[in-house]
Amino acid sequence: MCAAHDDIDKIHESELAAREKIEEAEKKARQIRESADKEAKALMAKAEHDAKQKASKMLSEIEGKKSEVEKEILSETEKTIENMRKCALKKREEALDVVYKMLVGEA
Amino acid sequence: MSGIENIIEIINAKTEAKEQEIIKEAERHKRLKIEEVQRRAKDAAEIITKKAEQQAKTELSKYMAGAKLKAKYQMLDTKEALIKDVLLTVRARMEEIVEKAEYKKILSNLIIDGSSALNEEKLELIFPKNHASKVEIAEIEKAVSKKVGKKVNFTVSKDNVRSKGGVIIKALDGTRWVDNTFEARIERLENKVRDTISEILFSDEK
Repeated sequence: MCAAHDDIDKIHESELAAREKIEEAEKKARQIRESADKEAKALMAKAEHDAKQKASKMLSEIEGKKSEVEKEILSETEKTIENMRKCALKKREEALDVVYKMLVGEA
Repeated sequence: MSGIENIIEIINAKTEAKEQEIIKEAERHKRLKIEEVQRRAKDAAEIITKKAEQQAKTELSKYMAGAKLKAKYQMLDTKEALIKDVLLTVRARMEEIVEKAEYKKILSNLIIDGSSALNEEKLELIFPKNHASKVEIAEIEKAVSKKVGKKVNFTVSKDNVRSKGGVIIKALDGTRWVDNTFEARIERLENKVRDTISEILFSDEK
């Protein structure tokens, strides 16, 4: 009878130890899950942060492009205006004569 | 190995297997979660970047359109200045001409044209102060009579028109008239004159 009790106790102890090990494993698993959540949040935050920085850089670069565009258009316009003015001045006398005649009734 | 040792061995083996399964499942969960988040993070980053790209593109296009419009206005301003220069110079020439001999011919023509348009036998002429003496009324009567095919008589009004030059030709009953003063002609012909100036000055433009 005594030997049988001993055996039951040994089994019982072994089961207790097993339960503790399982609980420990579950605790470790919870920690793994929690660390997964933290890593996921950090990953997402970093990706968003990096993308926002890239976007911000992109938008700030626009200012430089704007100046380039303005400079280019302004330079083209100045050239066109200068040419137009030169051509117009060559024909100014003709315009004066024609308009003068129209207004004084000679045309 | 005794029976009891065998049982304990089995319990330990099962426990170890269970432990490994629990940890393995947690690590699998972690791996899947990280993979999923990496995908979502990539998508989120792409959305942010694309939005910024689109915003930058739109802003640049808007700015470019604005700059082009500004350039167009500069062109129009320059054209307007050139047209105005011609108009002002012609106006100055017209004001100067009244003191010269050729004004007689100009004034006579303005009377003849206005009178022909009215086609009346009796007409009144209203001049700027001291301009009536610059024309030969009898000569003009002859010219107009010949042009309209009937005898036309003019009377010179005692009133004057406030003008730099030209004349108002009026039917005696006052119902019809032609205002051929310089100012009225400039106003009446302004659109036509502007079109003519543009055509001459800017005709080479594409």
